[in-house]
Amino acid sequence: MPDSNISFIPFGPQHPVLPEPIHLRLVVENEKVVEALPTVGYVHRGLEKMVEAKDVNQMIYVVERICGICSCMHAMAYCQGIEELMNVEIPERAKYLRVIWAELHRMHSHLLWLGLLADSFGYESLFMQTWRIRERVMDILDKTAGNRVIISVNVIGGVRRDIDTEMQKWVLQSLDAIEKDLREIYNVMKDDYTVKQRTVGVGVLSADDARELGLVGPMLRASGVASDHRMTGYAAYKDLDFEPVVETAGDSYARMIVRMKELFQSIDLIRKAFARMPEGDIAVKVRGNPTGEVISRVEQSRGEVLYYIKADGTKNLSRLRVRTPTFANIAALFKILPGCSLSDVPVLVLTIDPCISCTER
Amino acid sequence: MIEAKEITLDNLLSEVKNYHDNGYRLVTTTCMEVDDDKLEILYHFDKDFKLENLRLTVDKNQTIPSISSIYFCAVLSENEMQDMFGLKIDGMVVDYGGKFLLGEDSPLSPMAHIQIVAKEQGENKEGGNNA
Repeated sequence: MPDSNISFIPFGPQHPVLPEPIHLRLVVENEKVVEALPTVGYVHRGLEKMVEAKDVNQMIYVVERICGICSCMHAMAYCQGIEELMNVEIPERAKYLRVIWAELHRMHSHLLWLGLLADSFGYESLFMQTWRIRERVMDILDKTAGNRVIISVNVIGGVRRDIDTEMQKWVLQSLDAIEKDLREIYNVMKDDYTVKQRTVGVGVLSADDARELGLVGPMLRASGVASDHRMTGYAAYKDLDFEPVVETAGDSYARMIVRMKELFQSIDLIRKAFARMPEGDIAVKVRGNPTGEVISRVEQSRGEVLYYIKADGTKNLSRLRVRTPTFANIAALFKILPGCSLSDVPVLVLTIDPCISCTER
Repeated sequence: MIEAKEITLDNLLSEVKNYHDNGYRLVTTTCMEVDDDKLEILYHFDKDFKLENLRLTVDKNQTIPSISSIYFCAVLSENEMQDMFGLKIDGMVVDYGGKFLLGEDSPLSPMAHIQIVAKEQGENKEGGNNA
């Protein structure tokens, strides 16, 4: 093969289908990608270092801003870690409320992703439909928490807000309508010829590949690994009886199906949480500063997040380390891009559901 | 305290290989300063939601071997440790040369406290720190 068939193509950091800055250095032979090197580093903010300037409580606001899409679950993981360090048992009602807001975040994250995926292969109407549905989820967040994106409901010791009976009825009615619309979208996406042509058999990762690459969340579950950290039963998940959504094909289509089924699962979990949520307080007062080290893990929309927290009894933590799900899932790009067609690159990058803001912190 | 098995540079690779061969997923690595002279690295592994940790303490000027030949995905967190703490790592499968998360004009090893001392003393922030 003559050298003239080899090209180097810079893909991103600004690219029409990438909402966030990631650069891919692609080595292409004709239309086939033979080598890919993902590069980040455009939006690093040094948030972990802010423990030196912000105290234990102020850090809740910092971790919420690691990522807007899963801000609630960042705060949840952080607060759970601090509560474990301080031997704080939060009220049962607070555990259920945390689950409800976390699942609403999972829903708007997956809907956002579905829209971007549809857009990446030219389905603009589908993009608009999924984001229209997502707006209804954002309305629920706005009504129940006072904000659409960074809802700031978690505090050390519980949650800041309650959801009364009237509001619960309205949320459940809204979820019924969302579920109906989602069912229509799901039926279109799972059977559509174009969607299948662009995703079936594209970017295949076996279960061994997924484990070897350290993947998490839907990336792992779409390859047949039944790993979902909610199964460990943190917050109120232990009382909500659910099984992780698993597909076995390991391709882009399987990753899409996992995320779509998880939308219905989230609705189901929210309904169960409302039905089983006990009356009572929503927070306990917490005094003093934490001491020791702890690891807190939560299943975010994109997969497991890990918080390592080290405290020495002062108001500032001595170390906070956050391994976000996209940080783990970027490893998949090294495997799925080589060998693919150049036109599949945007779809494959999107199937890992990249959040670069999370990754770089 | 989290449970972590203390290891040394001599048995780092064999311990990591042991987790790999027993089907553990590498979750990530965590680096932190112990004092002005030492760094601590935690290696986190998961199997069936059970987290196991290895704890390695090294001098800041020591070079540690990369585990990326065992777990490829370690290149990401190893490059981050190299950026943020100036940790010297030998044999990374992909080496971003200290610019994985940092840019050309970024301070060197910004998570190392010696960086702050250097700035307070009015030294050039790009100048010698690098732990």
